[in-house]
Amino acid sequence: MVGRRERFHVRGRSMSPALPDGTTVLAAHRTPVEGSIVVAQLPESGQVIVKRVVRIEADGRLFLRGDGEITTDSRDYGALPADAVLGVVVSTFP
Amino acid sequence: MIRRLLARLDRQVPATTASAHCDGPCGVYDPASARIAAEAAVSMTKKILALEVPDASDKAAYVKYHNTFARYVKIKEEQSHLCKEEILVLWTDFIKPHHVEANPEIHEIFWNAAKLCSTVKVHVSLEAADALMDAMEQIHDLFWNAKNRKVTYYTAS
Repeated sequence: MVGRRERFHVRGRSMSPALPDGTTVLAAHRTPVEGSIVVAQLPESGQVIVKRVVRIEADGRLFLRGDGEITTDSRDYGALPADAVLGVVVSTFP
Repeated sequence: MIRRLLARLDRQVPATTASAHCDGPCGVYDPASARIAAEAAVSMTKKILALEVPDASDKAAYVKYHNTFARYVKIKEEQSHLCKEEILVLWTDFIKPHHVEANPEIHEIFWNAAKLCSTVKVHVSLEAADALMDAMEQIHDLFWNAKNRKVTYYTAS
C-alpha cells in the first residue's frame, strides 16, 4: 500500500496497449466512472482482474471489457457489483 | 529510478497480480464447430438415403454397398455425437446466467438442439437433419447476439 493506493502487476494482453503485459499499476479506492480502468475481484472465482468500465448499469453494476480483442470480460461473466472493485487504476509504470 | 524503487518495493511487499488474461483454455467459443459437425451428419443422412441397393447376386456390388453403408452410418454416429458435445460445451461453459436473463429461451433452444443430435444419430431422417440445421442457425444467432457481434450465418455445404 502507498497511501490508499495498492499496487498490482498486470498479466496478460487483454488491456493492451493501455496496460501492456507486465505493467505495474497503482489502484486507488475511488468510485469508477465509465472509461475507468479498474482492478476487480470476480465474485465466483475470486480471480483478480483488470478491465475497463464501459457501462454503469441502472442498478449500479459495472459492465467491464478488455481493450484487446482476445479477452474474457463482462460479455462472458456479466456485469459486476460495485463492491467487486478493488480500486481504480490511477497510475501505471511500464 | 522509479523502476528500481518499484523493484525493491516488490521484493519487500509483493504486488498482487491482476489478470488481463482470457480464461483458460482461452475462452474461445464458436458455434461453427457444432455447425460443421451437424453438416457432416446431415450429409451422411442424405448419402445413406441416396444409396442404391444392388442386386444381391452381384457379390462385388453387394460388398461395396454394405461397406459404404457402414462407413456412412459410422460417420453419422460420430459427427452427430460430436455436434452434441460442442452444443453442450457452449450451453454449459459459455452461457452464463445473465445470458439466460436476457434471453429466457436459451435453455429450450440448446436442449432441443442436443435432442435433435440424438434423433439424427439414431434415425436416418431428413426431417430431423433439417431441424438440426435450423437449430444451428438459432444457436449461431443467440451466441453472436450474446457477444454483441454481427456475424453472418453460413454453411459449408
